[in-house]
Amino acid sequence: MIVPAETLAFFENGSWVLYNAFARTALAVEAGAMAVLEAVVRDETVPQGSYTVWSVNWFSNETGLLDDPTRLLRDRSDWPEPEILSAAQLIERLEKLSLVVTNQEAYLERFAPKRSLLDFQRFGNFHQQLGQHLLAVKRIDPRPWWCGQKFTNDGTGIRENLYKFVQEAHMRPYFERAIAKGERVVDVGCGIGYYSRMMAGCGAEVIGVDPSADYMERAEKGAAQSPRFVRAKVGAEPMDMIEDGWADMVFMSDALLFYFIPEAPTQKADPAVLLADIHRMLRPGGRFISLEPHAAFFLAPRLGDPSRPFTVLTEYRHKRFGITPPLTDTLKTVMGHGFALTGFEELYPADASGEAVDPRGVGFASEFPQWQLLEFRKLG
Amino acid sequence: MGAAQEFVLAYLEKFNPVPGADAEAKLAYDFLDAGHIDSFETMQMILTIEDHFKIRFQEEHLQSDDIRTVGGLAAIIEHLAAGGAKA
Repeated sequence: MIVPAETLAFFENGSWVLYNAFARTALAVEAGAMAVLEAVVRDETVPQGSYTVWSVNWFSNETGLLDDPTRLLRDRSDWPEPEILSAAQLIERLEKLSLVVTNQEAYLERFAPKRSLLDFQRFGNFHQQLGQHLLAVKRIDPRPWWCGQKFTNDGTGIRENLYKFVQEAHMRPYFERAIAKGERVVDVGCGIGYYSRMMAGCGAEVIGVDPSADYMERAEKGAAQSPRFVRAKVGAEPMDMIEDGWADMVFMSDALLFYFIPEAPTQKADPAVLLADIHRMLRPGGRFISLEPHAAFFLAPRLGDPSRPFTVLTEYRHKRFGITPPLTDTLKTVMGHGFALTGFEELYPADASGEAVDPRGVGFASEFPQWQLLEFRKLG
Repeated sequence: MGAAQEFVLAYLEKFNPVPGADAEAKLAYDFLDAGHIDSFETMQMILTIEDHFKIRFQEEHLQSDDIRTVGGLAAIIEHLAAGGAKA
């Protein structure tokens, strides 16, 4: 039996927390349990006794994609009642959580995509874990959840989280700077049309396009200055309701990643149709503005003191858990479809206004960017 | 074939034929790993079964290996319907 090299131990809330940085599993234990761990690894006689543990794991992104992805109950007041385990029960629990491992080969096989909704053996990527948690564990329909974790119930505002403190706080002044009155904009994958309306508010003529009938219905209920919304199979076939060369600008937010890393193994992820279509819709010299979760830090555990955050990055190039393509993949792919990169920004909180609501999140996002904004220009 | 087995088979057959030369082979069919139905369809089937048999699957059932096959799922249904855990 071994302790995988990715099992960390840190002291939080007055107890030791054992944490597998890859599996994102955790158990809080009293100090005596550490002696059991050591005896197991050294193949020595396990000290018999009773050990207090707290089950501190929870699917922390069930409250939102931008919420703390560490999967720990951070406040001691949220911890469940302690459990008293024998040495054998403790070892069994540690093994169940991959904090110790008997069969390393079987352990490594768990880092594969899930094969079905009820595949709890393979860890799968974040999308799969989220879908499984919402559907099979919480029995929540992910489609309205997806909107609800970002927008207020009436869809006219953004909830008090990093979407607001980082994304919206950056994009509102960005659109005011970047969009000239009368410009034609296509918002690809516009969802319920929140940013479409913001761009229309800057004087643009906006067409919002999305494949979801539910989102289109909600988008059309928008404010009086509402842009036009059309439904299309974005990325699967051309958006031919938009004429060649019509757009001065194409905007796409939190959606391009799906064309690199699919939500489900059965889906095809191929950005070629989409990028050729964006190129077609733009006038010569038109801009393609891409706002996406940051290639490196989105979903990395938020460890350390909120004022001195650090993280453990378990992957970058080969995504097993992650859902954002490496920066090179995004840039090379887009540029390969007839675009030049003309701008790049990493987004941080605009000010300290979110600290009162989410000190850990805002502290982390102040050091590690949650989004990247890429500006491309159409060549030829 | 029991009522639960017939119900599960008929449900899956609505999407695609369930492979297997005889009843035994059909009951051993791992419809989850085979990708017979997608995630939403799997959840819809769970809810339909719960409604039909007036049962409620617990996390331990959804996480068990038995639920992966037609026969295994039917056995869980029968266990719950016999009083394992009422809705």
